[in-house]
Amino acid sequence: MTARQHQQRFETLLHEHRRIVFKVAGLYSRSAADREDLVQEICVQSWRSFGRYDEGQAKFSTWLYRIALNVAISQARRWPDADRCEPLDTHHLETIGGEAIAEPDERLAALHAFIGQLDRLNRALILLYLEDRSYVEMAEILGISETNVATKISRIKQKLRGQMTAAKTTGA
Amino acid sequence: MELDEMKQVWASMNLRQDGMEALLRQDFRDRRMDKARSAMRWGLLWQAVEIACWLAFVVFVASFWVAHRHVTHLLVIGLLLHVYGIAGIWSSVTQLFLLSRIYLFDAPVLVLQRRLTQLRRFRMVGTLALGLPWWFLWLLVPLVFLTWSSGVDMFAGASGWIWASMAVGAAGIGFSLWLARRLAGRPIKSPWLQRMVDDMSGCTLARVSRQLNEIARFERE
Repeated sequence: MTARQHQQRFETLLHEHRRIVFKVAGLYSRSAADREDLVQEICVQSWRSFGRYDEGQAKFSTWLYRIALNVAISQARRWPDADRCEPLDTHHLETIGGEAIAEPDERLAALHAFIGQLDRLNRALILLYLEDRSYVEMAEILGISETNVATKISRIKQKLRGQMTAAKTTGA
Repeated sequence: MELDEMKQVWASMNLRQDGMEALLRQDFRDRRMDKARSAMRWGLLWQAVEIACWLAFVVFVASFWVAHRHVTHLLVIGLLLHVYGIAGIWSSVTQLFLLSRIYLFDAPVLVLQRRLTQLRRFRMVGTLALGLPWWFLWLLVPLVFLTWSSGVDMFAGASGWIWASMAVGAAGIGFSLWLARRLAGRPIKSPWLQRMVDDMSGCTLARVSRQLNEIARFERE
């Protein structure tokens, strides 16, 4: 394969899976400028690693998720307030939502509020869950066992249920 | 709302891709991707050059103390610099090894994040361990070069001044650490100075340790 063909193959695959890049960038950025930087950084890092990509070993989506999450988490750690997880804000709603949202859907707001309180690693887990990835793929991407993935998801569900119940009680 | 319901909400959302699509194409148009690959090669080459410099330094220092093994103070200074050089080689080789394990970023998230944090911790400790001795080395290294090139033994001629400078060096190390602790937590304009203060005050180490704990907790729970 010539260098040009290699690059074209990468561009095609990246284009097909661009949602992964955008969603990860949207979830780990603090502003629109951050998001653009992250998108570029993920693309650059993917291109660097593409020479070693082996489709027999992993699906392109699995491979891209690993790179995108690794870049995003590392980038987020470099911020001065790295130990504090940034709550998702309006720009995230604009980023991930469709058209600009004047009055955000209640459920959408609840979803973002929930993701916003998670730490960086759990945020990665929940992103993969919401993206409907299988437990096997989630385990491959994160580097933990399938059982561990299942346990974590179950705990997050419990936590969410607890929060919803508390919110209802407070509301009532 | 249940988590499964959240999945439906998530799936119903469409991305606002305007601008971002263009970014993807622009990177290749501007040849930024090729530049990134060449920057990575230069980075690895730079590490190799650093190791070669340390090796040259150790060879030079070894030949120096062997040639002056009968003069106690020159032998001691030579041996100290030899140990310093070996520490430098060890640090560079370890960094190269740690870098080679992470530079492609395609390992599972937890594996890579742990490696990355370990590299950060090693770099921080290494920079301090190799940097602080320069409070002494600024004098010892020229002294060795002078003795090697001209045969003049400055230590024999001005030992009092040299010992006084060493004492100032020891005080300097203490002062640097004290100042870093005083400045820790205050915003500093220069990112380079900010990093140095964070490293010396132990802030970076504390942050890195917290990150390692976070990874371990995520794996365990």
